[in-house]
Amino acid sequence: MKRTSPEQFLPLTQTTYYILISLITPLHGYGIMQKVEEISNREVTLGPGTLYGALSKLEKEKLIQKTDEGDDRKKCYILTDLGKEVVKLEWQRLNNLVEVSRLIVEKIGGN
Amino acid sequence: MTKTKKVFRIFWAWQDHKEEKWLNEMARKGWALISYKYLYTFKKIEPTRYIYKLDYKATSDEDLKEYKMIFEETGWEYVTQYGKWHYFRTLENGNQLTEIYTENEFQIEAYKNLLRNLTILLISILIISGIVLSFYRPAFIIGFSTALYFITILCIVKVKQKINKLKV
Repeated sequence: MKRTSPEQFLPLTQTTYYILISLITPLHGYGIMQKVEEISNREVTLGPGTLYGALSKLEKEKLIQKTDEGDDRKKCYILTDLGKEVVKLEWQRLNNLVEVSRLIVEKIGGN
Repeated sequence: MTKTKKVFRIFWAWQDHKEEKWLNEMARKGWALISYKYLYTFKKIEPTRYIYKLDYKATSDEDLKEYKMIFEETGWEYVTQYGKWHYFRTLENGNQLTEIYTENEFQIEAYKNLLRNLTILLISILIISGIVLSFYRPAFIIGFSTALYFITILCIVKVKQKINKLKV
C-alpha cells in the first residue's frame, strides 16, 4: 500500500477529485460539502459518511493534511504538495482524454 | 417521568440495513432509540418518521468529535455508539439527504474495515479456543467456541457479499 509517486493515485473518482480541488484553501467538513456543491453546480452532494471516509483516507495517503486552524470539532484540511501534484496530473489526464476524443465525439454528435 | 423500555434483539454484522429499518419502524410506533448495549433502550415519543443510519467507523475514537460534527452539520443527529458502530437519525422530510453515503466507494471502504476486524476476531477465536481446549475440553466450551466460529465465518461471508454487490 505504500504509494509515493503521484501517478499511482490515478485515476481519481469523481468524489475524490471534487474534494481535492475544494481543498486549495483550508476548509473544515461542512465547508468542503458546500464548496463541492458550489463548484459542481449542485450536481454533487456529499453525504457525511462519504465525506468522513474520504477525509480519513486522503489524510492517510498524505494527499491532504490538517491545518492549525479550527478546533477539535472542526478540523481544517488543505492539499499537500503531493495532493496538488495528483490534482494536476488528473486534470491533465482528463483534459487529454477530451482533446484526443474531441473530433470523434463531434462526429457522433449530430448537432 | 419519561417512559422507557428495553428490548432484546439480535442483528448480525451484515444486517445493518435490517436494523435501521426496525429502528425506523419503532420510531413510527412512538419509540425512539436512546442507547444500545446488549439491549436496545427506547424512549416513548410522539410517533415520528425518523430515518436511522448505522455507520461503521474503524478509525480510532480520538477524532470522534470531528466525526459527529460532520454528521450533525448535515442534519444527522447523533444517537449512540456500540463498539465501532455509530447510530444517527434524521427527520424523514427534514433532510434533503436520506443517505449518509452518496456513492459506493467509501461505503465499500467502511465494509472492508468491518471485514478486516471480523477476520481478526475469527483468528483470535481460533487461537484462544485452541489454547483453552488444549488444557481441558468440557462440552460447553467446545460447543460455544464452535458456534462462535461459525457465526463469525457467516458474518465474513455475508459482509463479503455486500461488498461485491456494491462493486457492481
